[in-house]
Amino acid sequence: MSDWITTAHVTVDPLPLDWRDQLAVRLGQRPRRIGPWAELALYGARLCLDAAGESALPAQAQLRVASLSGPRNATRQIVEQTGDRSRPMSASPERAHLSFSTKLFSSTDRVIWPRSFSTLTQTAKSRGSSENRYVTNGIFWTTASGSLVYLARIARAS
Amino acid sequence: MNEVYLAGRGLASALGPDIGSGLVALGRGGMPPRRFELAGGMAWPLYTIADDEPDWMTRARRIIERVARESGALGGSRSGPLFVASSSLDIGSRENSGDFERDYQSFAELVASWLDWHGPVFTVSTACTSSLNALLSARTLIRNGHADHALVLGVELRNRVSIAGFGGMQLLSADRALPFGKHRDGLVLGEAVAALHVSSRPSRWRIAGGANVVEGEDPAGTVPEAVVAMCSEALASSALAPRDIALIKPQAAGGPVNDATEARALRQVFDPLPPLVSLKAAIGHTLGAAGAAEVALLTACLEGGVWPRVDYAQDALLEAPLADRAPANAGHVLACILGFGGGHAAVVLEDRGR
Repeated sequence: MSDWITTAHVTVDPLPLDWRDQLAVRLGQRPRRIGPWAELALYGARLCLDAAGESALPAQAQLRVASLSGPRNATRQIVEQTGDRSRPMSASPERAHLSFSTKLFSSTDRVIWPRSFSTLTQTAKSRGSSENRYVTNGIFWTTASGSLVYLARIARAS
Repeated sequence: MNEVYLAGRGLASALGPDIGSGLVALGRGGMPPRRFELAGGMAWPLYTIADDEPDWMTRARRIIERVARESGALGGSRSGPLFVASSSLDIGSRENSGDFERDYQSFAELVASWLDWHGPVFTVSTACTSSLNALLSARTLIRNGHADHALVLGVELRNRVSIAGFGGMQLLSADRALPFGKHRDGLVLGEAVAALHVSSRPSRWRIAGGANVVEGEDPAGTVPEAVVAMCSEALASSALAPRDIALIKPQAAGGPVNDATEARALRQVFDPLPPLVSLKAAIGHTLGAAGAAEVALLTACLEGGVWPRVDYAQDALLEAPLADRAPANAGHVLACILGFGGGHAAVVLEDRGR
């Protein structure tokens, strides 16, 4: 393996509360259609390029987004809920759920669909499903890990 | 720049524990999927590797060691880069043990210890494009002289999260996958462990080029412009024109919309379309392992004269029929994987042995 040179290294710990605003100012606009994890990666990458005195990456540069934890916490919640046969719905109406649950994802009728998720309705197998009773309102929320996107449902149980 | 070749391969899938048994099973019409039970009595079809070991990690180790050995990568220096590519990694173990304290690199490190691998270890997890991206990364390192060989492992083993997630998103067929089929109604997932041993040493298959295009506009669906861009970049990186491609292995997972979108986009690039082949009706959609698994199986099919049967009605409206036999001269093959997160990845293989 060849040797590599680190031209810049940035550590931001703790993260400033206004990091998203700082990124928007630096970019001239807020990034669109990316989740908070990818946005944070962009924030760090921009800081690192600034520290290296580079305005942009070379055209053929390869970009890697890496994390040791990635979507671990989201995955843990998903596993805990899919493994618990008494869920996905909760008796508590105040509790928001993060779930990959079949029952929640079947509830297409009352969901506010962000534009980017329109194709999730492509098979529309369970439109009108009786499972709709489990959901009174909700949105889909994404986090991105590289190009790996975890889809999650935040819902309030009726 | 060094050229990069496929030095060896291994594959465990529903077809069998290795390439040879897989070709035999494929020649006999394949193996049916089994039912995978979820909570609440729900079940989905799943193409499984025939190994009933109940302990997830013990089973994973046995399968991975066997497949890596089959690729030939363990017979020489184990100092090159090792890529462990997967969309689910060891979730199948974690969902049983509840252990989420270990970081996301720990599984790849564990695999490296199983294989007594001494080189740098990478985890690549970009959903369905994982192992094709790993292959492209390995190619980059070898081309630029940072390594002279590498091992790419695509690993996708049984877990409830993947099945429940895809089922919950209404993307699964209740019966079987019918890629580009008239009655296609969703995909069927599959288990696979695939090993691609790549090297700068010349061999039959040259990895001529490839591309990875991410279009996040539609995180769960195929974007036609991205398919066109993926093909164009893959061809450009291979110094080829569309007419040079003799065979395409599209994603073709069996989804009603995504299959149509992909076929339409491919027709924009290739006019006329070269012969097409799909392997997902035989091994299922093996998610992060799919790129490596399908490259391993397809190259073996072309060498062995075995071809997947298309025993269902194809969708004439797609104007993209699957070939019922291998092309006489598959000089350059384009293999594509499209996935969540807007990932559109392709690799171009050159058959130098024809």
